[in-house]
Amino acid sequence: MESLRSGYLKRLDFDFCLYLDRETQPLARFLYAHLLKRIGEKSVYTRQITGFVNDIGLGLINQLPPMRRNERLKRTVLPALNLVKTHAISHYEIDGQGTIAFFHI
Amino acid sequence: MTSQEVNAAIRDSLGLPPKPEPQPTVPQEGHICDFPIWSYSKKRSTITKLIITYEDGSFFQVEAPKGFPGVSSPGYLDVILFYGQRDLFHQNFVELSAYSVMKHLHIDPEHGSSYANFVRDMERNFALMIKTDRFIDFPGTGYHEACQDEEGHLSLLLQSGIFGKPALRIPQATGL
Repeated sequence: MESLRSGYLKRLDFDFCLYLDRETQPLARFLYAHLLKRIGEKSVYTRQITGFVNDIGLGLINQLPPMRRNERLKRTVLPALNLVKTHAISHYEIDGQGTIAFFHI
Repeated sequence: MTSQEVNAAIRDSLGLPPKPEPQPTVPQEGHICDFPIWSYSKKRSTITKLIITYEDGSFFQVEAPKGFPGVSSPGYLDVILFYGQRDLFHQNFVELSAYSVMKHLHIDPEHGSSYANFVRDMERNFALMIKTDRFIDFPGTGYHEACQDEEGHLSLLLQSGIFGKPALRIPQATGL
């Protein structure tokens, strides 16, 4: 409560949040706030994919065989990340070492 | 030229020293404790616990004895926060009708089980319990819980070293 009253809460794009809510995109909605917080004022936020997936509550994906893990990432996480591009991040890159980098807008 | 380079050039033209690079985020990230509500899980009625462990050995755990809330739940909370936050500057609770919450989300409260789903998801939200040691300055475990007073108001209590007061108060079935 004190944080709210002191203005410490991150200001989000309310219209975009409600857009995601109305489109029932809860993962994208979560990623929007999550990535904004993680990037902060940095130019880039880097994270191992396994750690990132764990951060967003999808740690079960890490326990899947590699092929199924990639399939789940492509089907669930990457579309949600694409939705928040230009709102929370400018773009993201995944390298061959299993690292994902998010770039500041 | 990126926006950061433009800002650096502006600072340079004004004779200001370069803005220092932000420090590594390890200390600050200790304060970050995101809340992946799992509303995107198809198993939200059967999964009742979510544990996230971090590389520094800290953890964040959500227990949901009534199951995790549904896909509309983040929207309910967004509406309550965005339309109700003004109230929090002069009182310790937010009062909004369920009808107005659903209206902002373009959900027809008269349709099917919309209202029942709203009540179910809010009850699941109120039943959530959070445990974490991610607050560096406040190592005690924080938690929140729900209670109901004699007037039928549900209150979400956030209690830890940081939060100490009722934060949310929703009259049941108001406006319907």
